Amino acid sequence: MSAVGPGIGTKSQTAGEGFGRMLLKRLAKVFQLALIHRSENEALRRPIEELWHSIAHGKDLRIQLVAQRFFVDGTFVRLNAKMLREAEGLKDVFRKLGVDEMHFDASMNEQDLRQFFTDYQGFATTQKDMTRFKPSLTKIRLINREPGQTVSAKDDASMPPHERLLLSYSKLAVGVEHVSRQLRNFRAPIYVALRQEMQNMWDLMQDQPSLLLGITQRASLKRDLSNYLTNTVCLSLLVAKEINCSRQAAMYLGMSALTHDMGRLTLDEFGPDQGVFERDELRNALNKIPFATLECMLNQDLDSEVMHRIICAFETQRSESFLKLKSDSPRLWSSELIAIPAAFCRLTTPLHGQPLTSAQAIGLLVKHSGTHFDPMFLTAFVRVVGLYPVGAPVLLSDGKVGWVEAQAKDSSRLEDPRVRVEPLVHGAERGDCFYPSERGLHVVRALPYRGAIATQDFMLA
Amino acid sequence: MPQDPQETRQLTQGLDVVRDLAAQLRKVLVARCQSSPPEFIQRLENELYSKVSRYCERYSALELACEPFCLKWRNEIVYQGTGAEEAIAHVLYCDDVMAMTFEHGITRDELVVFCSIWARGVQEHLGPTRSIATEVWEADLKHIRLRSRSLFDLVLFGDPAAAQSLEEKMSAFSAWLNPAGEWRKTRRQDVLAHVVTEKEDLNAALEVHRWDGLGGIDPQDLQAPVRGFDLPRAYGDHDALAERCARLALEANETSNTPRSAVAKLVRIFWSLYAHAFHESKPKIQDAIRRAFDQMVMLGSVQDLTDVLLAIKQEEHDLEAYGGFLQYFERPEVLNRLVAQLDEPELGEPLVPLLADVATSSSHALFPHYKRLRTKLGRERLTQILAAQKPSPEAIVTHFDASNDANVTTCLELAQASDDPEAAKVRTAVLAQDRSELWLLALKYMPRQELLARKKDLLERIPRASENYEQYLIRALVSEKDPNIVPYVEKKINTDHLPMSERKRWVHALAAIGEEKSRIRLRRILSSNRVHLELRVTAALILGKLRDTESRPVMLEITKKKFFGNRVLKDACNTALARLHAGDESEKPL
Repeated sequence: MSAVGPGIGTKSQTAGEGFGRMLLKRLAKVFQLALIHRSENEALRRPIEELWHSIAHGKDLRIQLVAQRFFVDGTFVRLNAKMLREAEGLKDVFRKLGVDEMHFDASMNEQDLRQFFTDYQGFATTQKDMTRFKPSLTKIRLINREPGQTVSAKDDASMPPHERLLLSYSKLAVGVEHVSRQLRNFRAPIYVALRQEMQNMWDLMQDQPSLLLGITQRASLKRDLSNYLTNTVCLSLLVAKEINCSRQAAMYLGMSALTHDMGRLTLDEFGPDQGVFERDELRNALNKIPFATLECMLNQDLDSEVMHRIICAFETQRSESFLKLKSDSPRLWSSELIAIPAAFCRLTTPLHGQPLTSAQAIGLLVKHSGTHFDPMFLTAFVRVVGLYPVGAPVLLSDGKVGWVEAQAKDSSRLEDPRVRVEPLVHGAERGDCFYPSERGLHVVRALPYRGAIATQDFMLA
Repeated sequence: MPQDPQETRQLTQGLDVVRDLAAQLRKVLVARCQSSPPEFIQRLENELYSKVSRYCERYSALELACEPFCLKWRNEIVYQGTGAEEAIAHVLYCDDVMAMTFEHGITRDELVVFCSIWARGVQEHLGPTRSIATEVWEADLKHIRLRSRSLFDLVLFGDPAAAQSLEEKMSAFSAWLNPAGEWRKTRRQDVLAHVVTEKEDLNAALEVHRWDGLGGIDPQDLQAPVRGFDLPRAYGDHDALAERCARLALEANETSNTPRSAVAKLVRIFWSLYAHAFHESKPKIQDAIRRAFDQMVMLGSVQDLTDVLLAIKQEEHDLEAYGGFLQYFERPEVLNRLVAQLDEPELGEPLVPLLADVATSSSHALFPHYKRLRTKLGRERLTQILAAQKPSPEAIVTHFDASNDANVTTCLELAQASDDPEAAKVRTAVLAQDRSELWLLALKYMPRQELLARKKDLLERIPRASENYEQYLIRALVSEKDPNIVPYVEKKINTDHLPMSERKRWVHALAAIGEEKSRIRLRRILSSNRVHLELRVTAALILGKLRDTESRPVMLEITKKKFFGNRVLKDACNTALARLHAGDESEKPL
């Protein structure tokens, strides 16, 4: 499936929420009236008809109540003041019925819906225990999940900080996957949840920036597009921290970094089962990415923030800030900043070709400093990442592979980071950590990942 | 509930204080939502700050729980409101905020920022990617904390695949670190995956990266070894860094408020995509452009759109591609929406240059809109748009409606603005109507060259035409100094039933022709006894003004005659002679 399609034209963000609210409001109204009137009654006939029009779209419809929040077909419905009262009433109905999901079958017709409310009315007026209510029709099902079946997020309050950071990283990566899935299905992603998770990440990384950097480098060894985007976000946040950005500016950068290359995740060509490309095929597929990103973002209303992210995406993807074709054009500072971690991640992650080593990538960025990359932001990036980033593998002069544990603070010792060499002893948990120079060694070079690359070029190489 | 009577008393007293405080909160929020005068809001905020800070000073913190339509303090409702103006708690509840805490040390600024965010939440101005909880966090308020549920659960609840993926990722990532947070031993296969890298073909890799958006890189970039001391590690210019941070902060702040500057960039992105797109992908891009333009127009960014499109037009030479880029504006539904705005004094102004640039093919679609426009301004603007599009004379004639004078005027204006030699067809169509008012309109919009060419036909219409038509035509011919008009004018001068004032005007008209023929006629009028005295006086004065020396003998003769009653004529001739004399003096060599 391509990201470009006819359904994309809907303003799903607002329209989706609007539909969910309207549906819940109508359902709540009918439940309320059904306690007083029979479904044949004129007072109830019209509301049921309206509800039927909301439900009948030729496919199954699910209304879930999970953790006191409503979901319509898996999409979260953000409540507002106008319908909060009805929503609370509906929650009460769900509670009394002892259910957390209502399932309306695609084959259900208006008469079935009337029958359901007739049953409900009959039961409610004669029985006290509403949990025993069973609709006579199978086309409308009331489902009560067992407690264990309910999906819940991990409770991270009791975790040690490093695990919380790992969890936050995982959540962001999963969030990126979710966003791409939603966009492929022409649904509005819950950006607000990712924004909040990014805030959580910001809080956690204040005390453990090296660990976060290490996680990004470890995660970049595998071809995983969600990790690639998450790394761009994390590195952007680390640079934002380095230059003392405000929280607001940091989140602005984070959201822009999150969406700047979303098109890559929605293109079939680069899906989980990416095959081997012919040269021209690969080039054509890569050419589609910026446009696919644009399509993803147009999926939402063009409010100022979305507009900004589209621009940021293009200037970063097309490397406008990298190429500086029009030096007199007004600069978008966020894209100037994001272009650096984005370029670094694309160069060092095995996305579609053999990646460069971290040192080669850094050298390349530095070579284009001033002419292609903003020198100040690049300096900040180098201060964060160094020559051999934490978590990156390096080849030592004795032929062993070491993993960078910590960078040297002193800029004159950038080539001598603290490394860890894995023990050969079976069962040993920790490697040997040292500065190479202390043992008369030096780092020969950084090592790139050789893992699964789906290009013929690399396979030939 | 408290059991101890003292505790109960304290609770009751506390309740009163907190209720008062919550009511004050509502006043501030309502005032902000209603855009009350700043001084009034400031006064309310001062009172609120005074109450909150006093409470926090005494009890170190104030925590309010948020429930639908109510705020609670120690499980007691301290504020409840469901109406349009009273409901303030629901936004917090809808955003999954469970409680808010004001802590000791709170500043007035913090409270004001918090209230402004809350008020925007009440007005639903926060946008879909924000919530009160995220906004308050970003505002970095040290002494106001919101306790909220993790919104990430929403992702997991809505997408079971996400929940499964989270489990998998966590189990994979957890293997990296030991319980103490140190890196675990790397698996052997992971090590091996990195060691064998001697056969790297970097040129092939670089080519992929160049395709992947990093077009500026070159194989030579990787030749030089990267050394640590070559890397930039110190900022050097701290002012430049501070400036960048400030600009980032400004951008972050403005992004949510001002879409204007973004429009130009976005349109340029579309243009660059469209201009360089492969043929097969153009329909997709046009679809995207359509939707984006739709939304930009709805955002009220027409002025920006116009500016950037005109700028692109000036920069680019591929006008065919540019025309295709503007196809959006040829769509009937778009024209319907935009043309209706021409009536609006401010909104309509930028539309004129914008729509004027749209391809000529849309001019057919624009003509019917004249009927929809309510104001003269709107119709004038539409005419300007059509004139810039240079519609063909055939197109104008097709939309010509003789029963509507405004339409006729518009068609004639368009024909006049057109440099097409066939534009005369439009005036022919107007003159073909049997209404002299329309003929007059046609005359008014007729180029002089054409007027002279059609003179015979136009003059022959005079008996059937109105007086205005006749006057206008003659004046036009006279002003063109057409010598053939002299006999016609002379005839008018000699027409006895015309009022004297008009006959005098015709004498002036004769003079205005300025040819020798006309002077001969003027002299004849002056010398003829049969011509009315007033006309002779007028002719004398005119000939004086014209410094017509050949009329001097006639004038001298008139001044020497001693007939009674010609004093006025004598005076006129004397005046004329004085003028002639003055002319002679000035021509003498010094």
